[in-house]
Amino acid sequence: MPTPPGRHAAPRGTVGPLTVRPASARAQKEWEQARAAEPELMSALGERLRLRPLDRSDNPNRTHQLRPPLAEKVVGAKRLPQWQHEVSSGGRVFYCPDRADRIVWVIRVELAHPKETE
Amino acid sequence: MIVRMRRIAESGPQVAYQATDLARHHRAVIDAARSGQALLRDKDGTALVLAPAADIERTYEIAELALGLIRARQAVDREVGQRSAGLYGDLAWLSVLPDEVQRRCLDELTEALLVASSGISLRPVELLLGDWRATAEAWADLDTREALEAEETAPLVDVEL
Repeated sequence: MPTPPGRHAAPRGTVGPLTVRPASARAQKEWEQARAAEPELMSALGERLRLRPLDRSDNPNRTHQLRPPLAEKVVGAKRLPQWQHEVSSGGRVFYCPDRADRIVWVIRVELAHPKETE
Repeated sequence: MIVRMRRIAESGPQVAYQATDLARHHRAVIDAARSGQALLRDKDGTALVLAPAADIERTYEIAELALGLIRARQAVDREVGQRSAGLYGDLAWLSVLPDEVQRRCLDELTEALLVASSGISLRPVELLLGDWRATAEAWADLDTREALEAEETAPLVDVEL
């Protein structure tokens, strides 16, 4: 379908939901275990990661961009920023958004965080 | 805080209201308070300030954050062997990070607080604080740290979660 006059077609790959993929077999296993244990929670998390992985509008904020020495991670051939979302009071998911390729790489899923530094 | 209150009393409003103005000219007093601050002089000369609660809360928040940073800085400035998590006060989580990272964290937070205290929202400071706290939490758990530091040279490009 041609683009209507006066409007520009969005650059390919910059709109629409992102694809959520595991960065490792371990991450895949953790995600599947978490989904079996908390299906609704994980469904909401998947939706969030697909649609707004960098959204920090929660108050109090539950989405954090990690700082050095954990600020970046190598995934494939890229060095990507590393983020964390607090799924629940003790649950954490770590992920690396690749905005250029529209992929969110899941690094680790913990539904019950064992050692919070409270 | 003391400096700020002195500043309010000395260079703030041109008009110093009397306690009786609260009854006689309450609208003027309230309007002055809403627009920044209203200075009241009690009968014994004590200066009182009426101001928007949000401004006062913000001042307290800045003071609290600044004190927290000073306390943590004092802890970091000690020899490593002479530190304990308790010395860091509210920033005790910082103590789990490597020494040079602790210093970087304090530098960044101090800078962000200085910028925010010049008049903009404190939200950037809160976000940065949360980012560093999450980093410390992840760093403190060896399994998580290992997972986050590992290079994923062969990510599962065909699997969708």
